[in-house]
Amino acid sequence: MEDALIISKFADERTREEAFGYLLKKYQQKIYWHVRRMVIDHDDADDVVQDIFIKVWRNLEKFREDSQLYTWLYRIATNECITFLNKKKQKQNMSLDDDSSAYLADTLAEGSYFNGDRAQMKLQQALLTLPEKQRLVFNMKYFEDLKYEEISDILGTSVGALKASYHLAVKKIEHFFASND
Amino acid sequence: MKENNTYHDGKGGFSLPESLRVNPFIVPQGYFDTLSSNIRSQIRVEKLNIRENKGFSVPEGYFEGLQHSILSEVKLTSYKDKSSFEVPEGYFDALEDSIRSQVKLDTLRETTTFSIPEGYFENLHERIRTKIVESEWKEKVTDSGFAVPDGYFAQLTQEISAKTIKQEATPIRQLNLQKWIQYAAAACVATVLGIGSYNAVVNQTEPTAETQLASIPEEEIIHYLASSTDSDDILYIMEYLYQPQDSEGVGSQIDDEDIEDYLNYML
Repeated sequence: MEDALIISKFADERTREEAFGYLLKKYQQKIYWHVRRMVIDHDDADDVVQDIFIKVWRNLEKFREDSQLYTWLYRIATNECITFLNKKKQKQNMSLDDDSSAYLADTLAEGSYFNGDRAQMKLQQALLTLPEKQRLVFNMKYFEDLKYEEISDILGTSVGALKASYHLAVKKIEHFFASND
Repeated sequence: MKENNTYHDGKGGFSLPESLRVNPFIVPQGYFDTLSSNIRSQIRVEKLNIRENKGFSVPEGYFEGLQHSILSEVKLTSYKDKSSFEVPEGYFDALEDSIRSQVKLDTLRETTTFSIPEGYFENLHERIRTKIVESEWKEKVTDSGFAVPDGYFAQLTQEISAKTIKQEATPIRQLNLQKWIQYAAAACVATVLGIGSYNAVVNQTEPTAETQLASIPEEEIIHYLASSTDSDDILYIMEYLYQPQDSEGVGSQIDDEDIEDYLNYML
């Protein structure tokens, strides 16, 4: 179902549930994987994804369509991921400026719900050495194949800065591979 | 013997009677007057003809090849009349428009310029290199490697629906009650901490977390609790909340007016 139709059906109380069902069907998995790549742990991703769609349910009526629906969803998802990671840091008595790589790396090492091969594991380990925002950009570009313009709409960062960030991320990952062979 | 009726005067025939000595021929009048000039003119013309005949010449073998040359020329002329090149139908009708369009295009080519971002070419090779590396990785790593439990997404849909669509059917008061509990719990925590730290100071015990927290204004603690915790955290805090033995319950030490002010402020 087209996004415009989902929004218009959601605006009508009689078809709101149907519209939300379509929205879940269309975006549930995409949002899940977007979150999962950031928070690593399945249970954490589950919690965050549910919170995201609860927020969507409460606020879709107010969505002004000044951006694409999926951009809006991704924006909520990204913010919720960052909020979640910050809360984790607080619970671990870490500074908000520290990156969350240490405990995420532990989570990854536990191998819970991870059936990737050695190359995939190594890439995930390399990604955890990146700052959160840079990891976000890499995930969206590499795994989700989003265009720089779309990522710019989601993160509110310029296309040029995103290209530079992605390019740096690739370099750091290459360096990680070279140092950890 | 002498012949009869013949004249023999002994001169051998050179002597004629006088009557026969008359010239029988006549000439036009004044003939001999103009004769010398005529002869001279004739001689002059003869001389001129000889000179002119000597100035014109032709190449060697010219006349032998003349017939072949003339016939070849005739054939070439016949070919010129037949045209071997053709043009498409209506070509010349459309030619003017075509030329005008081409002139416009050429003008546009000169005036329209594409611009590029600053430093584009300086960074281009790095960007291409990044693309190459990325494509090599994508051959080996197509996804993140993360997995989910079987049937997870179907279950997820149900859980989200339960918390959204189905919860909408419950009375609104319940939602407000949940919020009130959050804010009330935040206020209680701040109060208890304040009381605890006061007791610690009075009893001159070693500095505890409470006494250290006492240095932080209550309002700041309330802000922090309200903004950075969710309902799960509040419930957790409430479960382990320290309540002094002489307390009559949550919020009993706080004036109703203070609670109301706090709730109004937070909302």
